Amino acid sequence: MKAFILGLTGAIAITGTALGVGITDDGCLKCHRLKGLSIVDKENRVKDCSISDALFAHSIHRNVGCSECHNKIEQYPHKPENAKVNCATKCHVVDPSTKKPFSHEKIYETWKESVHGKNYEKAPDLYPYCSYCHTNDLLVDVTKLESMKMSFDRCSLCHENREWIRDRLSHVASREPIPVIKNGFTHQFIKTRRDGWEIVELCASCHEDEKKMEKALDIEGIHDKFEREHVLTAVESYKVTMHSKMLYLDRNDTRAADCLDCHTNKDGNFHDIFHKDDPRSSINVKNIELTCGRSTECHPLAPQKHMKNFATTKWVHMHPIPDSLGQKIVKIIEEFMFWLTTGTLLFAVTIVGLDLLKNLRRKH
Amino acid sequence: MGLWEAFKRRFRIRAEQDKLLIVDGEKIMIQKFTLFQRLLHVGMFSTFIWQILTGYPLKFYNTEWAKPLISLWGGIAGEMTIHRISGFIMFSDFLLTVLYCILILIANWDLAKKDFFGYFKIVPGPTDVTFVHYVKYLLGLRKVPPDWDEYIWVDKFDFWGVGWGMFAIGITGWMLWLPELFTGYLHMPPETIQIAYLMHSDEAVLALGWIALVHMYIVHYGPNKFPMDWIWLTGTASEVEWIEERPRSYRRIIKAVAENEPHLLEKYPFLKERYQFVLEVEKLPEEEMIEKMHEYAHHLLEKEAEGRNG
Repeated sequence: MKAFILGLTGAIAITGTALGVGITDDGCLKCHRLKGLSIVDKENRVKDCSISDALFAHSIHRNVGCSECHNKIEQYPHKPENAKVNCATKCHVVDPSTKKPFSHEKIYETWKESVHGKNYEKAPDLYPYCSYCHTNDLLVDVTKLESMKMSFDRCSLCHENREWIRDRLSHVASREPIPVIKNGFTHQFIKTRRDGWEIVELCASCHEDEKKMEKALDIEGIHDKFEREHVLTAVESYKVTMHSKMLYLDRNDTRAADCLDCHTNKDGNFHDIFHKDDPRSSINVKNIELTCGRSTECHPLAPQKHMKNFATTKWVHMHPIPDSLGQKIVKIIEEFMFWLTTGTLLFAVTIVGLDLLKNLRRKH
Repeated sequence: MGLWEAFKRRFRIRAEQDKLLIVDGEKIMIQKFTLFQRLLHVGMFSTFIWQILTGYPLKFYNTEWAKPLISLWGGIAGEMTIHRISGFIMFSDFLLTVLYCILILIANWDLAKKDFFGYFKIVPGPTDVTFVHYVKYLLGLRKVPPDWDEYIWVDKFDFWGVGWGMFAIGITGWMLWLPELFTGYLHMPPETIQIAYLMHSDEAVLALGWIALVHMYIVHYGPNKFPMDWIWLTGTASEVEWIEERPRSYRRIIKAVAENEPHLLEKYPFLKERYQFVLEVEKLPEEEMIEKMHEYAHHLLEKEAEGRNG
C-alpha cells in the first residue's frame, strides 16, 4: 500500500512539474520523462533518450516547444532518425527587438559556409552540427544570488511581473560570470560560459581524433602531405605553446588565446571558421595581424604597426612542418637541440657513473 | 698613478704566489675564487633555482605537480613575473661576467700575447689533454688521476656551458618576453619566435640535467665532497684537496712562492719542506709523480689528524 501511495505521489509530482512550470512539450515528455528510456542504434550503442522535465524547465530553451526544433517529427511514436534538431527554423518565440519569430538562421548560414558546415551533408557523422558544441544549458537561478538581488529589485521598480523579471534576468545573467558575495566581499565567480581550456578540449574532441580527421581530409580533397600534417598535428602542436599552457595551468587566467580566439573573427559570431586561404578567414594572411591584435587584446601592436613577421610566426602551432625553407631550418634546429641535449646528458650520466665507481673502489 | 695603471692593477691576473694563504702561521690554503667571482656565482645559481621552479611547470605542464606549483606562484601572472625578474637578474649577471672577462683581457693583454693559455687557464687549451688521461683513468687504462691544473675539465665545461646557455636560453628568453620587438621592430623572420621557444625549452632540460648530474656530483653529492664543497662560500680550498685534485697547479704555486717570495720559505719551514718535495717529485715520470703527491697529501692529512688528537 505504501509503495502504491509513493508511486502515485511520484507520478503526480512528475506530471505536475511539467504542467506547473508550463512546459510546452507537445506531449513529448509523456514518454521522454521516463527514466531509462533508451534506444539501441545501428552500431549497438545504447542511447539514453530520457529527459528530466525539471531540468528542461530551467534551461535556455524552456519556452520552446519540442516539435518547433525537432520539426521532422510528425507522428507518434517517431522514428529515431527524425529526431534531429533544426536550428535554422523559426520558433514561436518573438524576438523583442524585431517583433519577428526568433531563429538562429543567420548563425546557421555562417556555419553552413564554414569548414564545419560546407561538407556536412556529405558526412553528417563526421562534421559537428550546432548541437555538438551547444547543449541546452541551464539558466542560473538569480533569486539565490545575493549579487543579483539589486538588479532584480531595480527591474521590479517598473516591471510588475516578478516571474517575467526572473526569466529575463536569468537569460542575461547566464552569459557573464556572476559574483558570489560572502560576508560583503566577492568570494568567487560562477562561471556561466566555457573557459578557454574548455573550448580547446571541445575542439580537440574531434581534431585530436586522427581517424576522424583523416576521413575529413579525404572528403575535403586535401592530399598534400604537409597540409595534411598541419591539420593532423594541429592540437598537439597547439598544446605545447604558451597560449595553451596558460589556459591549462591557470583556469582563472583567460588572457591567452584559445582556438576560437584565432580561428574566428570575433565579431560576436564565433562560427565563421574558414580555410586560411579564404579571404574571410581570420587567419588569412590579410587578416592575421588584426586577429593577433584583437583576439585577446594581448598584441595590440601587431595590427597598429603591421607586424606581419610577428603575426605569421608559428608559435601558435609549434611543431615545424618542413613545407618551406624557414620551417626546414626550424626542423634542423629542433633536431640539433634534441641530439645536443640527449648526447650531453648521456655523456653526463656515463662520466658520473664511471667516476662514482672509481671513487667507491678507491675508498675500499 | 694614472687611470690606466689603476685599471690595470684592479683587473690584473693574480700572480700564482698570491693564491697561497698561510693561516695561523701553520696551515696552507689556496684561494681559488675572489669575492666578486663568488658573488657572480651566487647570483647565477640563486636565479637558476627560481628559473627552474617557475619554468619547469610550463615545460612539463601535463604533470601532476605543474598546476599546484603554478598556483603557489600566484597563477600564471605571478609565475611569469617571477620568471622574468629572475631571468633579468640572471642575464645581468651574465653580462657582468662578460664585461669582467673583457676587462681582464684588456688589462692583461701583454700577458695574453706572451702565453695566452698559460695565463688564461679557464680557456680550453693544450693542457686539456688531461681529459683524455681522465677517461683512461676511469676506464682503468691509467693507474692515477690526471695531472689536473687549476681548472679541471668540469670547471671549464661549467663556465663555458653557462656562456652557451645564456645564448641559447637567455637571448631566446628575451625574444619570448618581447616577441613584438624582435619580429616587429627588428624585422626578424617569423621563424625566430618558434626557434626561440624550441631552444629555450630544450636548453632548460640540458642546463638542469647537466647541473643536477655533473655539477652537483662534483661539488655536492660526490663521495669526496658530500655534503658540499664550501669553496663557493669561502673561495678557498685546503692544501690536501689542492694537491689531490689540482696537483699541477699546486706545484706551480709552491714554486712561484719559492721563486718570488723566498723570505717566506725562511719564515715558514713547512713551506720550504713543500718546495723541496715539489722539486723532488717533478723529477719523476708523470704517473709516479701523481702517486707520490697523493701519498704526500695523505701524509699531511694524517699529520693534521695527529696534531688534532694530540
